[in-house]
Amino acid sequence: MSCEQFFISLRLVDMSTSQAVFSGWMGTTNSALSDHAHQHAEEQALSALVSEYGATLYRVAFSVLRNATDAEDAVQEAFLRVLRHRDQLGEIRDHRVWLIRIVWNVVLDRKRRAKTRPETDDVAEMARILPAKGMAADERAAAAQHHAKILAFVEQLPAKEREVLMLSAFEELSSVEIASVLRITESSVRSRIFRARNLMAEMMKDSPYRNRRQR
Amino acid sequence: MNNFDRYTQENALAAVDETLRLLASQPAPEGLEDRLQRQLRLHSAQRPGVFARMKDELAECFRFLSLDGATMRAVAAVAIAAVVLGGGWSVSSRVQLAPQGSAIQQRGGGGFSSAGAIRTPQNIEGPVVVVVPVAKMVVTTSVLPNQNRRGNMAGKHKSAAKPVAAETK
Repeated sequence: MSCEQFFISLRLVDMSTSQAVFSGWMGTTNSALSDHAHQHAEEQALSALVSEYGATLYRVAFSVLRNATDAEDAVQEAFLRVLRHRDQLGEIRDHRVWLIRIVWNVVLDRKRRAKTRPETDDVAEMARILPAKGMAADERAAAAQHHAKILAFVEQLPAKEREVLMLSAFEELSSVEIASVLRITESSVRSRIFRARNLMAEMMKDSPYRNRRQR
Repeated sequence: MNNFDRYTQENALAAVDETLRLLASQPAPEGLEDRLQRQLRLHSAQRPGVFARMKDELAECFRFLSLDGATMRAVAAVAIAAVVLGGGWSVSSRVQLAPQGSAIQQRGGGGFSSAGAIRTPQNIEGPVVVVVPVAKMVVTTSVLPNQNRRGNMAGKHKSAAKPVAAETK
């Protein structure tokens, strides 16, 4: 059963519950059964959400936190928030964007609380996630350093521009969806991406990166 | 912008895209879904009590406390400004201004009177202008003793009978 079918069943259960409340003549047994059915439907819907969007949320969290354990914790926290507000699940239209917004907020909260991430951590993490094939050890180390350097530049961007730039790297997210996640207009997304790219190019103009790329 | 700069800029942006895509395309670790499902089942089984719900609600209400430093500073600055302005306004709204003093002439209100005396300033005597007499031209007609009424000379010498034309006094 797909995720959407679960939400249709959840809405049906919602309707039956509300009917029970309004009619008033239904007995306690029926009400208890309805509650049980409602709870079961909610659990099924949540489970479907985890199966369908767990990996996406993990990637969003990892792109900001750049640590596998932290990213997994963030995804868990996001789903726990969903669990707390599961009553609203039936009202959500686009679950993917809604979940990404939740995990995005969780991730930003965590990042604010954490200290500034040292570049050495990024180098190690990038070396871990780089594709293993076709690279010698020294090339791998150089590439990891290069990516870490670029990430350090990204960190220097203003928060608004940085957030949009990072979300724009997700191919499955359109500019409309990014706007929905960040609660801004689509034109703001475009202008921020433009500004972010200009700033990045300006910052990287005098960096050693230029020499490396032109060789 | 020359070709060299453009080439560099394009390269830089391509490198940024490459790095960010590398991060964004990370596969989820093995067993992530199972762990998430287990966690959710665990938390779903234990229904939150009244206190837990209240705690959640409070946490939601006080989420602004987890704002970053700049935002917190801005919020604090706005709060301080509001307190100062509010205090100033409350003081100024309570203070009543004294009525403006109007000058009233008191007539016969006691005290000393001038008894009608008028003060005349003691001016220094001014310069005295001396009037210089102006010379006047006076025309007179003198009648000689031996001249008759017609003005003819009675004597023989006419030239002696000529009157003095003008006499300057």
